[in-house]
Amino acid sequence: MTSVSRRRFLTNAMALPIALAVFSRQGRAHESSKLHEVDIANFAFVPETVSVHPGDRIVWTNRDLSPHTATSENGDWDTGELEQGQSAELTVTEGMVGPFFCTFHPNMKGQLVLS
Amino acid sequence: MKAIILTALIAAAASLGEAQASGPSELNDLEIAHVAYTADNIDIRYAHLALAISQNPEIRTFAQTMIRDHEAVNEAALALLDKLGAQAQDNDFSQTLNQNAELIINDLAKLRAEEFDMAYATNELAYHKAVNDLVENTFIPSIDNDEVKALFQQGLEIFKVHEGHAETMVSSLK
Repeated sequence: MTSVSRRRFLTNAMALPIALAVFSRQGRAHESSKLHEVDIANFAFVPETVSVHPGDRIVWTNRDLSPHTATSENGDWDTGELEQGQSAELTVTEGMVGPFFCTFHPNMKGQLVLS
Repeated sequence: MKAIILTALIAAAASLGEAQASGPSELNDLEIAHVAYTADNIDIRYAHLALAISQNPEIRTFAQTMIRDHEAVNEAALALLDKLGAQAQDNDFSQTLNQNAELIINDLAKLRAEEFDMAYATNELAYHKAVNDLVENTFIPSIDNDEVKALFQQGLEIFKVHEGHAETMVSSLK
């Protein structure tokens, strides 16, 4: 085995467990990702606090007659306008953690926290 | 001048309560539905005026919310009436509301900048207080149809949020 091919063999040999580890981590993340349901009812987010992992999904559903939004206070994410009966689904990223509110009714507040 | 206009606006909004003497408790469900539809449309008109005149972002956001929410309530009311095979009935009380609204709109339209913003916010607070009192204490207890009553209860919840929002707006403008 030349030094080049030995180096390639070693590189490949090291890459395999790394790839397996990454694959395994992704598998675990996928397996443990959760679906969180947040109702918007009576001018409140229910629940107000949602404990999430990156990769989880959140579905907001507006049960009120009034249109609402769920919008991060820093403006990084937004469900857009949800009319009565409409839902929006977002996949959680680390940047999404923090307080959110309804842009139409600013007294309606909630928060995403890392679990 | 500003104080006179403001007083006139508050008095006109409060006349909702005075008009109770003409007998809103005696209205039937379809007349009450017409009054509510009229009251919604009046607030939508105030909001359109605010969007035409005000440059204040807080006022503009509030006005957009008024249009969005009151249109949603009116759509639900029309859908319910359609389902019940009924039609809202015009009445003296609805007409009084419209006449008062014309006066308020005429006065508001003469104002600009901060004067308009404060008058609009103050009127919104007084208007929602008067409407909420009427809906909660006069209309809801006297509505016969359960579905109509449920819709009014939903509407009241929305308008109470508006009243709180208007109160915050008035405080922030002072």
